[in-house]
Amino acid sequence: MRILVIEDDHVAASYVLKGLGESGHIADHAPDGETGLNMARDGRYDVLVVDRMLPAMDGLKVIETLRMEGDQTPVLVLSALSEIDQRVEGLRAGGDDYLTKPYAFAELLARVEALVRRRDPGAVQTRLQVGDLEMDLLARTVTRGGEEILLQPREFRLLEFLMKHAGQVVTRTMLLEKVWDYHFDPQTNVIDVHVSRLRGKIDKPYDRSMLHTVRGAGYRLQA
Amino acid sequence: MTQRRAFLRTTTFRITLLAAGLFAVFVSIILAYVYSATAGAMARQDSRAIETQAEDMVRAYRRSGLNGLNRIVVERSVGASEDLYLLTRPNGQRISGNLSALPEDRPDDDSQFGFTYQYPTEDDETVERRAKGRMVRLLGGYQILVGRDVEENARYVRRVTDAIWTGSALVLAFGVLLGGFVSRRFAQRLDDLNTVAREVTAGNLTARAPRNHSGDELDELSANLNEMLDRIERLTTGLRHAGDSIAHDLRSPLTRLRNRMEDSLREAERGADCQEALQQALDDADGLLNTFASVLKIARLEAGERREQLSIIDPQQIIEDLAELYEPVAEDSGLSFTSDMEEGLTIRADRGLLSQALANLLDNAIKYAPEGEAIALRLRKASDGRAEISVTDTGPGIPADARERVKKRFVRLDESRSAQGSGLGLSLVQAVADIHGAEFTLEDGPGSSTLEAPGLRAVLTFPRAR
Repeated sequence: MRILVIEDDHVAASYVLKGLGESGHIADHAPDGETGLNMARDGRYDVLVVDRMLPAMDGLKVIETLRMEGDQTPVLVLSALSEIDQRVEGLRAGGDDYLTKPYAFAELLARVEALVRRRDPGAVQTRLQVGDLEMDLLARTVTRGGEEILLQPREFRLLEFLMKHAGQVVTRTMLLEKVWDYHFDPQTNVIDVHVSRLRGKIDKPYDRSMLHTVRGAGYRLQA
Repeated sequence: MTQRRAFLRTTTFRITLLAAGLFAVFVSIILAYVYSATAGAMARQDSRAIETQAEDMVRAYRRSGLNGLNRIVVERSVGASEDLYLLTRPNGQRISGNLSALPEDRPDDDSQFGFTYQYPTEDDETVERRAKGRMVRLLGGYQILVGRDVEENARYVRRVTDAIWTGSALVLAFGVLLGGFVSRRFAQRLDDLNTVAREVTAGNLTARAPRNHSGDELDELSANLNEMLDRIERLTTGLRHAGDSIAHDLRSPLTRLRNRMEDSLREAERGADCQEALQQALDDADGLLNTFASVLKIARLEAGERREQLSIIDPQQIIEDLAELYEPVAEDSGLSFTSDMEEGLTIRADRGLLSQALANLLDNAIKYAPEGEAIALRLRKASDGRAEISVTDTGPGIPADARERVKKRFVRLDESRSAQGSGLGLSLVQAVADIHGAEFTLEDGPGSSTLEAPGLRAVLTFPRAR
């Protein structure tokens, strides 16, 4: 997919561009807000990665302008400002996700890919299916190969998030943010424990495992 | 010299000078009035008396001629009196009266004039005394000097004048001294404040303005200044401490990271696979960044940011969420986990910050309590009605004398050096507690299953939410 990176730090930008290129995406670079806005207006991009602090035009202003013009391209906001209020500010301006510097590239890639996928389904889903794993969002039931699996409420939400992003890498931080709504990293690997419990229910009794650990990044649910 | 010039330039000195000047003018007016009311009144009284006498003489001469006048003069001249008379013939020869001769410097008209005369004392000597009088020229060339001894009055007037001059001098001296003293004191106190300000500017943040606790404006200014300096000192000390700590505590992991990279570079030159070393280096770097982020976060919290964003919440949901997140983790570590909550409690809190603080406490409990021990997360109403959230474990505990120390940044007890951690967890809890106005205490827990260790109870006690 096509990604526009609006970032004034050339070293940081080339690091991101290289990574995105290696992951099979086409990435362009804009070194300041104005150039970025003009390039984004072409509408050829699937995702925008926007740094908050930019010369010529502030990152949030770029997003606001695009949103006012009716452009709904998903935006990942990058910032060195980590306070929650600033995160909220970034999302309120029209950003879809917020990533604090410094970040691991895997984290950025996972979030960018998650943003694109999110835009696709459009209509409200009531059923999710990955391979022989099925989830009914209304009845709140999960089956694999027709067999019902009993999940705790939180396990259900965890699996729902994984299924919505099936085939993509989701990071521990993403899970903590989206499933638990915590914006800090606990010292102990609490997420690993929860994922392994979920794995025990949806994978262990079956011969083929679907929930994979991606080293140095997170997890991937795959059919 | 320069100091004197500086003093002369001060506003207080100028104001004092102005006040002293006005004071002097007022005092002069008052003294002038006093002079006029005493000495002036006496002089006027004398003049009137002389005029009356003069009229009497003219009337007597007109009525009963020279003889009648002479009689009156003789009558009035007998005995000690302050009234003076001298009746003369046209050639100036004395006829009668208590004066021996006409004064030389008498005016030609009948205006009043001052003169001196010889006054006989008891021991047959004479003294010169001052007098005032006028000439009355009668028909036929006779003339009479009507006068009045003013020696006593003159002396009295001089005393009054002297008193007025002395008084003025004293008043002026006193005014200047008092003004000088007051302005000096005021200038001194301002100078003290300036000295403090300069000292602080020069880098001594412990300098404080002197206080006299009188509660006046300057004292209040000093108090406010000191309060401001206290806050600044706290912040800068915190920052400097953080800076020192970062420098000190990041050095070893940075060195480790550097060594590892150097090592893997050598390995790579020999064609060895350095994937693992790189992964470890990456982990080290991440650890460093995390530590860095924590330090910044603590510093921001300590600076008091976000204090305004607390909202009144029921902490139950926070406890439930955390219990749900941590229960499986504790169980996987072979620890039993319980949580219980009392209902109907409200606190002013920020969900994110409070969750993070409690997560730190739970992380610690899980990290340090050995397998088979227990952890409890509890929300209850303390005996004084305040909401109390506690994390209890039956692990090794923290010795009483180390409980304050471990809340400081980067402090790790020797017993825990082997375990992973940055030594920032409890500092963050303390910072979060401070933001919430909550008390953070560490105390002995309920003991442990090994009967050896006391366990640990970490308690956050919140002020009552309004």
